[in-house]
Amino acid sequence: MSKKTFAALPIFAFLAYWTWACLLCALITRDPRLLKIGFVSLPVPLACALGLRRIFSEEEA
Amino acid sequence: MDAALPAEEKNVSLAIGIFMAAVIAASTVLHHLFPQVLSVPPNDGVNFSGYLQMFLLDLVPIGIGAVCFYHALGKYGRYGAMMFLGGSFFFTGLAENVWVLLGRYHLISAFSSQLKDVSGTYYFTRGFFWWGEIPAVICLSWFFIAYACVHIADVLLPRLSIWVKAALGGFLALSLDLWLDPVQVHPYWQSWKWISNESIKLFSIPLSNFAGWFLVIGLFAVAFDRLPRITARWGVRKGSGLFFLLLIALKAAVLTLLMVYGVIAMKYVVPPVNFTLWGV
Repeated sequence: MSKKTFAALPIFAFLAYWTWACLLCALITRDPRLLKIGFVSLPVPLACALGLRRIFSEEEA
Repeated sequence: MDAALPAEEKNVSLAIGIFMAAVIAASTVLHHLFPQVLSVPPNDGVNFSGYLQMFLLDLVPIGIGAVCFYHALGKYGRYGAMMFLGGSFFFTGLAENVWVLLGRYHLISAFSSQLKDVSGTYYFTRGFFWWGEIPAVICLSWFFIAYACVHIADVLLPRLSIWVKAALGGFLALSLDLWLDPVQVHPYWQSWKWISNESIKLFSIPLSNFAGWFLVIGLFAVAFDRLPRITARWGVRKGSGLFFLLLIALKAAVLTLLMVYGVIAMKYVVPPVNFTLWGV
């Protein structure tokens, strides 16, 4: 495993938890209102994406 | 002295592991086999509350926690990883147990007569492994949420102080829970149940819950950042003990702060308000 992939592990883990406990669990309820309020949690995937971008762009440099 | 440090670190790590395993084993037996001891509410009508279903659902956070623990082992070594795991488990587990049991036994009013009308706090329904009256995977989730949030803050703001990183980590955890809580208390899941009549709610969840998420993650990040300095000054064994005492002090401070907020809110926010969107 590369150093950068290793550095990204907690971010992947956090994103996986958000995807399971928030997104998938909201979908499973079939309650559209829960999906609508999902926007309040957008900082999570946004921060994860920025973190992954920083980690992997540094690898290319 | 230097040669003794790894041995001490090993002993402290082992002690934390044994303590966690013992508490989880005892709590799990107590919760499932002797529910009357801690007045465990029945799980009537709660989906996926069979033993096999609860065990399988527990595997999701256990897997995610294992990934973060593996990373912590590589980044901090065995002692640092165990202190993060044990510290976050202990800090959040103690905090949540206090809240759950204060509500269950109607002890909130002991803090102030202003809180005499508080109906309770909350409790968890589903979980195979337990830590007191908290599912062990909830404590494990606190571990990897704290770990990942602080790590992301560290990646995004590497040159800023721990206070800024802790604030960003707390904000990310808060942002997660803004969606997590309404989803998990939905009648389909009922992973935990709020029985609080707190004055201010957001998405039908007490506002103090969100404040708690921010404070718990942020303060733990700051406390863990202080650990190397504490052990450098006091030694590994004594420093580890002081670290856990620091966590208890922070827990007491958060509890006091939220109680004061509760007293003020109950007195001045009448009638109670609930900020909802689309009825959630």
